[in-house]
Amino acid sequence: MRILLIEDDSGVAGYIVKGLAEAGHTTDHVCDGNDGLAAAMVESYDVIVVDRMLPGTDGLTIVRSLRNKHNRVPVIFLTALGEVDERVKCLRAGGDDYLTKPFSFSELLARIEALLRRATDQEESSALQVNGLRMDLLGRVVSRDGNTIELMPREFRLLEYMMRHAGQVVTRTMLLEGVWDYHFDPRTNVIDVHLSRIRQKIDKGYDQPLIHTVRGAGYVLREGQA
Amino acid sequence: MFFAKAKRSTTFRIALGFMGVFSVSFLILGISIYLWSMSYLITNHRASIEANGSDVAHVFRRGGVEALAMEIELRATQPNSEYFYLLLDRQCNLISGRADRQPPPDLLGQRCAELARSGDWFDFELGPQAVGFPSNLVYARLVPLSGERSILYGGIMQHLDVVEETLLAGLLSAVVLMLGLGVGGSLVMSRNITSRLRKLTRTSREIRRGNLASRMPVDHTNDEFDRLAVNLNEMMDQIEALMDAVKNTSNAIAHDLRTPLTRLLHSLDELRVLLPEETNLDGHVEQSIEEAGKVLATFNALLRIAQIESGARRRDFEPMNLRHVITDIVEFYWPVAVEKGVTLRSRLNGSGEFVGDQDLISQAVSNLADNAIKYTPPGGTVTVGTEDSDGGPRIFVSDSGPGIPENEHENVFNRFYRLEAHRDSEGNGLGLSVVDAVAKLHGATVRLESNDPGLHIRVDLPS
Repeated sequence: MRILLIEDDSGVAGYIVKGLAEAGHTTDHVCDGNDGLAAAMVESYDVIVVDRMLPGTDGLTIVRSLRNKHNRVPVIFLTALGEVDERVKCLRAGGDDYLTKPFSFSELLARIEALLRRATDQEESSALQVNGLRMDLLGRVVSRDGNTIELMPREFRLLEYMMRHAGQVVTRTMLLEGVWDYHFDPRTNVIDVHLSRIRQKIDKGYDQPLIHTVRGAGYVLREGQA
Repeated sequence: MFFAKAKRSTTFRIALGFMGVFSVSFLILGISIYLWSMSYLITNHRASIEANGSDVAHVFRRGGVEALAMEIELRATQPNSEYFYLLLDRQCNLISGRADRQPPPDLLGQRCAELARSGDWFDFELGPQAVGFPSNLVYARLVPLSGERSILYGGIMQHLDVVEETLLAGLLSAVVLMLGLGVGGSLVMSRNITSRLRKLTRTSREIRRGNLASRMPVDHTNDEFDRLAVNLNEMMDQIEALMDAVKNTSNAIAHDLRTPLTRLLHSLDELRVLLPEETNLDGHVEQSIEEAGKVLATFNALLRIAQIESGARRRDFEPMNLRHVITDIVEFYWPVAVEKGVTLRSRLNGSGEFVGDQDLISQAVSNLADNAIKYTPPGGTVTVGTEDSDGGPRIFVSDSGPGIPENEHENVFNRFYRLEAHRDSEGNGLGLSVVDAVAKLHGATVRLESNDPGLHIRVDLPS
């Protein structure tokens, strides 16, 4: 996949470019906002990662310009300011996701891949299926190999999120934002406790576990090894 | 209603005070004018009586009692004369003169000898109203003559009553007019000053709510209010500059410390990937990443508190429901409580309607619930709930843990403050600081109470 990175901090940029290359993505990196906007307008990218504060044109203006030109390319904002209301500003400008520096690379990668997936499969289906695990979204019934699994409403949403991102790493922060809509750090590893409960219901008694822990990153739902 | 409000205004009270002082001095002046005018009139009247009386006495000295009696009879026939003369014997019985001008018998009967001897002025009122005169007050003197006779001459005080009435009416209407103008003027003045002060109050309230860019209105009249506004504005400029400096400093620290920390995390991240599986260093790297992550978390918490305290989040206040917030948090923490063997339950009363920042309120409730579960031993109970209080909705969290000693209640909101007993447990001592900052942002008060056993925390929100 082709990714455009607009970032003026060369240390951060180098780290991201290197990581993305290892993950099998091609990255174009520009340091300046004006060059970034020009590149985004001319070239076709699958995802754009843009710093909020840039020399030349700032990140918000770049994304607004793109959206005014009906360019729907997925955008992730990076910001170092730690301003709490930055998230709202970035999303209003047309950003799809938002990440505060410092972030771990796995967090950024997980979010990039989630956006790539969202851009490719847009069709709404009434059921989700990962191997023997099946989720009926209309009847709100979950079963594995034909055995119905009882889930509480929030567990259902958690599993739905995991299944929609099947095969991708989802981080704890992504789950916190995507399932609970919480944008703060809850201090205790509450997410891990929820995951271990859902694991009990999904994987207990089966030879093949579906939920795997990805060390230093988060969780992934897939058949086989993580 | 307006008057009742004006009574509370200092300006109005000062204006009324001045009016009071002015009224008293005006009253003194009025009384002086009145007394002086009256005494002048009376003196004048007596002088006229005296002048006429001495004419008549002259007749007596030239022609004796007979001439005097004739003169008096003659003068008594003149119609409507204010002056009159009576010839009396030593016992003050009338010998000649107008009988209708006689003093009341009791007056002369008792004081006849005394008045004749001293020659003092005395006054009396004529019995029947003297025809053609507006008044029946008489000033008179009794003068003894030779040959067992006395002459009484006097004059009807024609104008005194009229003058007195006119004076009093004038003074009274002046007082009424002055009171009216005074009260009216005070109201107008206090209204004017109050409205100018209200502008200053409104602006200062806005500034207190976090809008540091707000300034007092200046109308360039250069009067004392204008100068006060200019001074306050200059003060606000300085405060804003200082606040900016502090913010810039903390932002600079945030940036300067975060960037190397980020690089450290990134290097550790890469190191973990690069390390061959068989080395046993993996655990150390993992632990280092975790520790660096904790430093960052503390740092982020501090920045978040600073950001909440700056008040900028007020812009994002929206209607929300506390019942939903609490239901969600209880549901969120429920598995954690179950795992620990603590009963977690919600108690929802009241409407829960509130206008605020849902994300921050959620974080505050989350921190309180997190603490409560953390410090409650297995088998205990934690209750998170909302109810209506007098001032507005209330959020409360109570637990059956060890509680917090009363003398520590005030300290727990301080940053990095931790109870001695909890020093070794997880946490950075910022959880309740966040709660406090969120509460202050919403104009709420946080109270700690002993729950016997445990702790009961109440967050009283404004309606």
